[in-house]
Amino acid sequence: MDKRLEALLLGKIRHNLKTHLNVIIGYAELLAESVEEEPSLRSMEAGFGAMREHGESILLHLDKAFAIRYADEESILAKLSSIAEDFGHEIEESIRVGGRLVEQYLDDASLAGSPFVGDLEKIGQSIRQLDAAVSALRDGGFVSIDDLIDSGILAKSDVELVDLHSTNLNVVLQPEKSEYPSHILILDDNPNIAHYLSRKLSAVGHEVSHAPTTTAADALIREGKVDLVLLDILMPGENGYEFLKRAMPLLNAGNVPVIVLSSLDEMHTIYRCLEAGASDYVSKPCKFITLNARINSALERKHLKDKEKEYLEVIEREKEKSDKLLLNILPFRIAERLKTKEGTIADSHPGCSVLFADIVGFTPLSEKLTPNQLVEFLNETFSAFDSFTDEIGLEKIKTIGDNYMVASGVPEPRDDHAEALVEMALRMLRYFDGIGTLKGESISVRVGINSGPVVAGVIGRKKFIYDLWGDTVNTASRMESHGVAGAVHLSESTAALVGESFDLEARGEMEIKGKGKMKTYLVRG
Amino acid sequence: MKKILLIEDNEMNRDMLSRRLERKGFEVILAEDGREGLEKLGEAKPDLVLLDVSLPVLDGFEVLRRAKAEPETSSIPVIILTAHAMDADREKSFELGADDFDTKPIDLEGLLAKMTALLEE
Repeated sequence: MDKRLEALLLGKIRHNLKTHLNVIIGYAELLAESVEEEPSLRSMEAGFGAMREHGESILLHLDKAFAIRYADEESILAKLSSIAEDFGHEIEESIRVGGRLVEQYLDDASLAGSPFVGDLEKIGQSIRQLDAAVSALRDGGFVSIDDLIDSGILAKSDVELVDLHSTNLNVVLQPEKSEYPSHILILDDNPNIAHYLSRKLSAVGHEVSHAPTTTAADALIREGKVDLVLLDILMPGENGYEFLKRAMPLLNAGNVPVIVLSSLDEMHTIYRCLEAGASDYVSKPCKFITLNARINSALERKHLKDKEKEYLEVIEREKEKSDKLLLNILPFRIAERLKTKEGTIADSHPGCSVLFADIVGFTPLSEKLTPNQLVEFLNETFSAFDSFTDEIGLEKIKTIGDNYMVASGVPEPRDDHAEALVEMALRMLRYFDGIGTLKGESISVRVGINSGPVVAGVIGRKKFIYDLWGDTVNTASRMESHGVAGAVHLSESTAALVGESFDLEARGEMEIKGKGKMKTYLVRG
Repeated sequence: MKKILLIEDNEMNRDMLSRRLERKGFEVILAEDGREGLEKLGEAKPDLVLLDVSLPVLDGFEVLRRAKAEPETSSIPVIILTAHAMDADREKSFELGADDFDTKPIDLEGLLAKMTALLEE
């Protein structure tokens, strides 16, 4: 008989035995749960618990017996007889005790007529069937598959089903090259397993490293080379679970999935590992193709997470860029307010100063320069002014042609707003002193400053600009237009604020357009 | 209440598992063979399917294959239930798109954990 088919049949025999146990354990558990809710029957809970334990003990012994390694050339019948020899006394004992427990409860008057009797009978029936199958296997003497069918160990339909199954499974599955060739770290103290996995994983296109201890693994993970970890649980030194708990933050930072390799009897550890953050697990011994499928699906998720992280970083960078741009146009506090919600910002500032500066000699100069040279000249000049505003801590408002407007005391109030702005004006003057003449044209700057209340803010919906409004602004502009080339012209209100810090010269009363007569001053230094 | 479709030909297993699941607060719909399973899958739109492999009429793999091929039902999670007997079952199950796998006799706590994980997704 085909070896594969024999293996399937052997599996079917074990399955049949286990089906009885499934019924015994399942119904015993069900009964234990049910009587728990019936006060009069609660004393039986322990008995049903014992029934379940006997079932589980038989299951354990069966698994052990079927786990024997046999020589391949042995026939299924020979294998069955060595398995039966291994059944041991415990199985029969448990069957006997379990059977007696069932009988005892069936005789119990307090259960009579209750719905639990049917369940108990099912347990009893399964125990009898299990007993018959185990005895038949112990007696042995089978010479053909038909004997197995006759003794009730196999059903004819089992053989047919297995036949169908084996055709179904005959398509040999070959692992394909991975769609995500990656660096896989095998963390396992067993060099044979590591060697085997390493060969198989390389064959599907992965790069593989092996670490026999978690210390060795740490270094590789820290270098950022590892894309996925295959983790053994039982290792000398720090075990797999401890490693997982400790290294999870590091692994998460790199979206490195962990697949736990474990034995079947480590189920509790597996739960703990999954809770600690492992992505998946595979029970040993495992078919490579299963492991491979799990690895591929973990890598696919990793790939998506990496992409997500990448996109988030791009978004973050773009946001930084736009924030930076916004800060170039608007004061920090104002930009923050605009980002949160406010549509229009208009704040009253009771005390601040406003400066206008105009380049004198600009018109004749502009006739001698090409448009490019002209822009170059303005750019240099205003860039120098910009750095003064940064140094002194002022707020540049805007430039209008060759006119430069800057304010002090907005949006952050400051007591020395007037002094700071006069300082600004003097720096502008010195800057032009350094230039003197350009293309034969003498150029200089004319500055006007006024102090008082303004409204400052951002209005409109497009092309945001932080601007100032109010009479204080208009007067500042008049101070500039009525000023003197190479000098700083102050209104009376500014002069009153800076009189102690700077040497001023009164210009007397002068007629200011739209304002009437005003006392004004020039700064002498 | 989460709706579970249990496709299992063994009467006692069906009775036992459905009663235990009902105790845990699930609504359980039963099917005895593959064809009935597929019909109920389409009609009842359960939240999760527990599928035995060896079924009469249509075997579990065929049910799984058809369920996963149908856009209407492909996203319903399927847990394959089988005896540990056939190792290849596990591979084949995942190959065909099963969402998880459990072996009989069923450890209810373990199965519930798998079900909860899939239902939460």
